Amino acid sequence: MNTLQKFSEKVLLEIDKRKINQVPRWRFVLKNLLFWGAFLVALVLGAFSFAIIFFALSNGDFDLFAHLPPSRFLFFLQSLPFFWLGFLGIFLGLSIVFFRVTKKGYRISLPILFAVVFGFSIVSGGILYLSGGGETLEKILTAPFPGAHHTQDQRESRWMKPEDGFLAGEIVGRQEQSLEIQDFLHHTWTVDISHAQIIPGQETLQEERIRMLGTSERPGQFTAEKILPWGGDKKERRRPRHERPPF
Amino acid sequence: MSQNFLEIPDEVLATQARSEKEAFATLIDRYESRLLRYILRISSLSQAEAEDTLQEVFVKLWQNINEYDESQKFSSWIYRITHNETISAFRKKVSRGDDQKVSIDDEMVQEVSSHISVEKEVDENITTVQVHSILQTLPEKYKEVLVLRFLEGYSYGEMADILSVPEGTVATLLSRAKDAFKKTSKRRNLFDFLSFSS
Repeated sequence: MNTLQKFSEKVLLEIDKRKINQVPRWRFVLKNLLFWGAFLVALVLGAFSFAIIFFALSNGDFDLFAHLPPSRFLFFLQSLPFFWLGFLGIFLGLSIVFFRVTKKGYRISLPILFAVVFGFSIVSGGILYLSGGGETLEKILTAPFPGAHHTQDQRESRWMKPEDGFLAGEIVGRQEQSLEIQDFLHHTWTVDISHAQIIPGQETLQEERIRMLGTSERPGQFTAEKILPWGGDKKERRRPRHERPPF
Repeated sequence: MSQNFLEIPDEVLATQARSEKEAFATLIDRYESRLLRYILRISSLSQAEAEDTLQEVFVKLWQNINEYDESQKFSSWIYRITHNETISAFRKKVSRGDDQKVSIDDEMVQEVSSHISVEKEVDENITTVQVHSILQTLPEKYKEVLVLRFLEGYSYGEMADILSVPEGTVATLLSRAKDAFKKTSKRRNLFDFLSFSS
């Protein structure tokens, strides 16, 4: 007992000698609140990423999968929102890390925590996308980066390659066997549709904006093999040309 | 010095220790020997090194006493601080290239072997010396859970708080620790048998 008392005295002397003070309670509370705050911010940014990914995928032209040969696989790869997938990965990872360092964060196992964080982000991201927030969020989050390409711009650039067989634009004139199209750079094209397959049906030609697969022998002339509606987000409005990055 | 505090539970003492050094000294008295034994069991620190580590544990405890959450068991919290401080001291020692063998006392050998039922599952003739040497070979993380469970008598929940891992992880570690113990026992037995035959 005597030895034990000696040890406690020794410890108290050491504390006095090293002038060690107690860390105030508010610092621990603040630290924990900061971790919770960082966790919530990361979680919300993860949900935003999902909303933008859903928006990008809905504009990804994946309906062409059955109409393009396997050699054009690159076309679909270009449609994948790699930047936002990376953004999502970073913020899901950060939200897990921040949660684990909160006071009782260690109690939840990693697979369960991942499932909860992923589930929350995908559901709230889905709700945001369905309420039309995907494109707006993309604009807000890319605002600090003037060179950042938006989903719609990237999609339009994929359809501005007539030499590769991809052309899209607005119908500005119609004849029985041909259409007059204005592409996204306001160049006018005469499109031969005499042998074109219209997907999914005749109503496509009622659309203002269309996509076409085909061939271009010379500038201004395009022979369509397949015609599809532009699709994507119907509410989407094209930005004025001067606001768009060059293709 | 701390006679007035003898009947007071740890959790209340920890709260009082924020303003009263006597309460803090009572906590030191209550935990000193238990924690010293724990440090020696999970590390390869010498008696003197373990005492230095223990002193650092109590200094840290004093410094961070305001972090203690009254809803948590005090012993789990102080064991966690001790665990972290010991691991840190142990790693420093390993990085210096010092001896990595852990001291294992007779009580530890007896408790661990009886809980794992080595006699039934491996060999009835396994000796205390063999159990001792098997424990020496087990990885640090397995030894920790065996000590906390069978020697310190902690529940899975308390072990989770001490080791800062989920309860499921504690169960997995404990199960693997037992398996590792049994496998090593079997291997040792086979080795002894082959050596004898040849």
